[in-house]
Amino acid sequence: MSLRIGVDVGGTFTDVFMQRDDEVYRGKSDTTHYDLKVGFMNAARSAVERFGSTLEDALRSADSIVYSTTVGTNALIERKGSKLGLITTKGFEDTVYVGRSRNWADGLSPETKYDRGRAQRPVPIIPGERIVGVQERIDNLGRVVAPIRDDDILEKVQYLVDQGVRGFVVVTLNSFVNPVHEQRVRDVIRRQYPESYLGHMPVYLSSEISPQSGEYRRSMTVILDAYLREITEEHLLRLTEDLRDLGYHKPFFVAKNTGGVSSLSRSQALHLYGSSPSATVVGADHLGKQVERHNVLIADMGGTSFDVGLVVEGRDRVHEYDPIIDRYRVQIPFVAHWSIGAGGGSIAHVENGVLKVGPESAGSNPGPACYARGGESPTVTDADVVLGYIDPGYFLGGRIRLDEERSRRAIEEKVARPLGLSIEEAAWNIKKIVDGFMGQEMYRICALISGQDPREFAVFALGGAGAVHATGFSDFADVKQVATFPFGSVFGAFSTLSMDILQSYEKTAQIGLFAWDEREYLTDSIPHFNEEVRGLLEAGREDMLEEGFDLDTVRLQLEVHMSYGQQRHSIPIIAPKTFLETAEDVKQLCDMFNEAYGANFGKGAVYPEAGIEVVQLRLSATGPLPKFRLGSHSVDGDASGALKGRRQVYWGPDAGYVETPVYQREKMGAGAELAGPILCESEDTVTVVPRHWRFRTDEYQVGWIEKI
Amino acid sequence: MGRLFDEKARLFEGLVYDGNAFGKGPAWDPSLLKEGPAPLTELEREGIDRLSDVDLELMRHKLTSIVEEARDVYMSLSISEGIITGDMNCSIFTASGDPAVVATGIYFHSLLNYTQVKYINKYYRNDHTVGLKDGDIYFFNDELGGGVHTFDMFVAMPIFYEGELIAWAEVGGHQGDSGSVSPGGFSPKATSRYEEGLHICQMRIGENDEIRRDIFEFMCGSVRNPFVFGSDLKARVATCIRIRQRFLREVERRGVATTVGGLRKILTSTEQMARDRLRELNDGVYRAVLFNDDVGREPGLTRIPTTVFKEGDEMTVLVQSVSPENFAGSMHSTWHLVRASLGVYLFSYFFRGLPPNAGLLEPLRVLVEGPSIANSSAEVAHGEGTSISACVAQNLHVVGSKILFDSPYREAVSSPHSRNLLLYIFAGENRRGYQTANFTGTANAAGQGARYDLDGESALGFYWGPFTDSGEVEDIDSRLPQLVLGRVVEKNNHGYGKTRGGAPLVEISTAFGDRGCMMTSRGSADKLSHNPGVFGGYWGPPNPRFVIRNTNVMQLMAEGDDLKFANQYELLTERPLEGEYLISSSSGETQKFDEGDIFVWSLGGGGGYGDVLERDPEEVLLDLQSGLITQEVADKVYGLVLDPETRETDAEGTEKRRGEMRAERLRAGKTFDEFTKYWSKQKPKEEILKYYGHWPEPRLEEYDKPFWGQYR
Repeated sequence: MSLRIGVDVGGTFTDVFMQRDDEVYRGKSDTTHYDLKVGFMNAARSAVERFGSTLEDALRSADSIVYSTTVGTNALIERKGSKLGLITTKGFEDTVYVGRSRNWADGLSPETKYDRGRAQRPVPIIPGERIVGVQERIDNLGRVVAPIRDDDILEKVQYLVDQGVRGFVVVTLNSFVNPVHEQRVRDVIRRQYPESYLGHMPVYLSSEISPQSGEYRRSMTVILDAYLREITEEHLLRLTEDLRDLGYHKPFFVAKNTGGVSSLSRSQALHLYGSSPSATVVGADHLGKQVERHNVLIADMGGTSFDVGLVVEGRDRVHEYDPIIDRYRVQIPFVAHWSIGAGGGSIAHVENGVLKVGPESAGSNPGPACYARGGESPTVTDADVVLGYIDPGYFLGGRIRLDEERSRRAIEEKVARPLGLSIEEAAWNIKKIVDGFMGQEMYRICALISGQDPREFAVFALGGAGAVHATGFSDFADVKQVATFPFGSVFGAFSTLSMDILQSYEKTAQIGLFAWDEREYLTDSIPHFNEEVRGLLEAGREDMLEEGFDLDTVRLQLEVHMSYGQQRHSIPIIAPKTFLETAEDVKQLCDMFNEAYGANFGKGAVYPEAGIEVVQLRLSATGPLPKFRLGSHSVDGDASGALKGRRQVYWGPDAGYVETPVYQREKMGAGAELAGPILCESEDTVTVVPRHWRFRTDEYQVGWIEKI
Repeated sequence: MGRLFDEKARLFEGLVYDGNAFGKGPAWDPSLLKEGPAPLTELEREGIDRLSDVDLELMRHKLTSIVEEARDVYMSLSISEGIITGDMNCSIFTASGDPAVVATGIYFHSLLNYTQVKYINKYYRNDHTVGLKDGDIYFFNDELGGGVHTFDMFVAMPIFYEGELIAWAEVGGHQGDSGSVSPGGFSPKATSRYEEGLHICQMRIGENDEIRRDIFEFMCGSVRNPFVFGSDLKARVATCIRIRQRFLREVERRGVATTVGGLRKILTSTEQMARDRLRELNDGVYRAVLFNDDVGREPGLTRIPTTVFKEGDEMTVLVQSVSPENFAGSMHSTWHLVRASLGVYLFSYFFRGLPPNAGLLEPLRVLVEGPSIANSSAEVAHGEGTSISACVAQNLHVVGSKILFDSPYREAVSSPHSRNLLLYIFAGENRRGYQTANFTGTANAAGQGARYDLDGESALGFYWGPFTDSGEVEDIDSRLPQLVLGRVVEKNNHGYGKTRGGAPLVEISTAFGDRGCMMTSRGSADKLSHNPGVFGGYWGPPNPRFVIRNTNVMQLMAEGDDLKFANQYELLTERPLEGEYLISSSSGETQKFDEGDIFVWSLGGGGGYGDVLERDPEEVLLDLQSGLITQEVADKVYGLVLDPETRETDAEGTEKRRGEMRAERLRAGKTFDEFTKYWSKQKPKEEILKYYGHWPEPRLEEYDKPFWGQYR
């Protein structure tokens, strides 16, 4: 028997997904922020109970655990990370404060990020009094213009020690080209302050953690990584010790926002931040391949947010290379996902005579008015209750009982009366607005990132509210097919078991491949290109050996990020050969770039006459892990046994209330097909299928909602 | 006109107010600039009738997301520093050429560069030598056609559906070099428009989605950085095509009438929101004035006053008694630029929270007396017209804060964002072998004005652009020829007050390498700030050009010596480098600079709010500790007293000291009559008034009354 355990610690719930041979089991528990491992154990216990075992027995027999955690998220929100000092180039001490000016808006909602009149910068991770500058300067070609001096370093370090710092972040200008000054700072610190003197005082060099151009983003990458490292390591070490005490001695992997997993010792703290949505993208890709959908829009609608991810055929993964974490822009190859401030808890209100939904959310506490926990603002969930989509007696399988009358009252007072509408019309408009905003944002993201028409995509609807609103937002996103999954409510935990071991390495480069002035391919650049690649390969080989892989089984992929001369935007090209040898190799890369550029932005935009450059190299080393595959079921096509009743459901001003059949999802076999309007309830959610859509289940028990 | 306006204002026959002072030209028609939105078409009316409020809200969101996608694409593909840091615009216009939805880094772009499309509709579409068809690509950059200056370059493409023109896509921004007499675009010494490079009012440069090669090469050959120009031009076309593609999909989904009706209704519904807000505010007549200290060729005083009449749901902005135009520089605005510039204040502050589009300006009547520096004729140079139009916008900000103070919108009360422009344009070969001519993102890091309840943020953004980005020095290192030695939030460089203004980011750099570089500087506010404080707050200080020639900085660095300066303040007061310290007018000739020559610049700090003696002493101490102010300012301006041993605030001592300062103020104070008697006798030296016009009220000789309001 094999047992693999995936864990996803979220802001509200901790989910566990267990794959036991071909069977899968779900577990769910409240997240226990005071000690995250308690929630993990509770969720795991609820899963093992489903197959009649004990947690201890299950852990003793488990083969692997993959863990996705929010420990970093909470530490950052509460500003509870390590006390650090920053050593940078003199004259640039204000870099992290200024943050390219626009940092005040990074991480804010669309409504607030344009409100310059009320702009306020975030609370700094390292305040100004713990930032020092040392005299030194290296130019963009790596030439030392001003040498660094030991006495200067010592003076500044002593000052930081006096301030009580417990670690040093070192970021000097252009260190990604020439790291010699950063290394010198570390040497001086280690020489002057050996561990026996001050205890462990880690030194984080930007040239090692993020050797990429852009001093603000590089600084924040290293600062956040260093800030979260101690608290993350402490949590994970305690957790693994507890697991060991319970009898678990097999590999413990952590899920990373870069799209893979790794062992504890081979991961950076910053890579664990927000890993769940990234894992979800990987999981969707894995399932998409099995159900033969290669272009997927992931729509995860929960109580407070709506997360969108993208799987694009032909692209290994859609990455965001300078994502925002908290209020800061960093440089990590984040598997791209976008959070939109819309969810079941989004509050509806009338502003200047216009109905608005969100971005404010009632969250889970006090929650929507129907929760009867003191919330009086009408929310999307309240609208869903009024419209009849959600059965107040069967919300979350009956675990929470809803008060429909409170929903009606809130909508009447705050929306219907001010706009002169009936309660149903007001609820319908709330649904239409939120579906429209979500769907149109999905369209924008899909179109912008993939450059493709969203009609080529299928939506994977996840989260408690995903299936309720799926046809609504998919219609606005111009997508005609939606998939729902039996384990959609623990999709993040499932997804951690879809990931491979992944290590990635980035390096900024400035390598010309086509000369704008001479208009010829540059074979002189080949040695430089190969030298940079060789450095990345060596790092990759070393890490994968330590992960225990035979290098023959490791998949290495080189992404060459290219742009026209001096363009800031680059396009990643998967290198057909790891090393360049001839002018023909150079030409081949340039041709691939021109073709990709033309496909994305139009043939007329192709402009090699401006020169073609390599601006970044990225190597990923992947070690394959076993994956869960959906089991195939016999197709009987009969849904009659799943019919649990009928109720009045509002389907818009034209149709009004219609008596609508309600099915129980768990009782529906494979191969069923039903035309809307119907509702299909399950323990975690309800799938809403309006007119002109149909619902069917396939051999894998995937529920498909399709526009007729 | 309203009652207050009729009582208090007097307009003069023979002068122009409600439109441009220049007449129709070979490729421009100023009547198009003032005619407002075109009448509803049948198709638009049909669509509007079908749209519910919810449909409209969704349509607004959808069309906005299309232009926002376009903005991301355009900024990604471009090279010019201005565009990649946000000085750009992507729009969808109605078929008639009215801007309906816009994504921008700079608000005034959303209110300009549409009349060129109206011109094409009116004069070219039915002309058999030109015509208009699907796939046409039009280019324009001429200020007289409805733009700002020649270095803001735009492309527009018509959107046809089933053979009918239903909308326009437009994309453009600050390109930089336009082939003008100075590298990089701005030519402070230009005396006529013919020295400002390529002027294209509107010209078809391509068909069937492709730029014609001969025209492309002609245009690239007209500027100093052809590959940058060419690349960015192609980026504009690619982005327009993207907008068209997305828009047409919406037409397929929603129907053509609904989509074009939605475009139109977005405009009209915003106007209604603006009127509703205006109705909530106190009526009155409000005034403010600014002076400029340079005309381009040389220093010289000019005046830009503004009177605002707020009556009911309308507001009249009157710019009257402004200095005459001159042929001594490029600081000449146009009527349409003044009008559009007001959006910078109105969108971010006055109408905060309302959709930022042209509909917000519909309740405004903008009267700018011309010909003058604020509403100039055709022949003068216009490249730095924004220096004048910004003064009107700053005046409106001061006036707006007065209007909003006693209103539900006090959160928007503040001093203006810094507009003390000093911009260096560097040209030469960068260290990667590319020819370059541009400014750096440091321009996008001026100080914000103080808010009524918050300090202004330091280094917040460009005056014109709420969404601009100051970039990173490692990027500057690889793009431009100079070497940056420091970028710091400056000391003593903001307006003091109960809440203080934000300080600017100052860039200190040196020419680098054997070839050095060329540098042109532009700007004003060298002696007279354009950054007022409000309600007693200090003004943000002026910032002249500061260059140090022939320094020993390279030698000091090479030898590992400590550079004994951390900012502009220390460079100026302690002069730690050898060399020739040159403080001069911001408007400079293009000059060659050699390695070791130092450039220091910023875009200034914002003004303060309220009385300095009401500032919380703990906040003053924080300013002192963080290096924003010196001990002298803490002591002499704020009256802060510190405990000599602990260096903590001495609350009792501070209160006592502030009491003494208040008493000193009373002793030095004059009654209003005494002050008026003294002040009205003052007059600047004649050479300063060379470009001012008649003293004290600038006016043409034949008009014997002051223009700026009538006092009854």
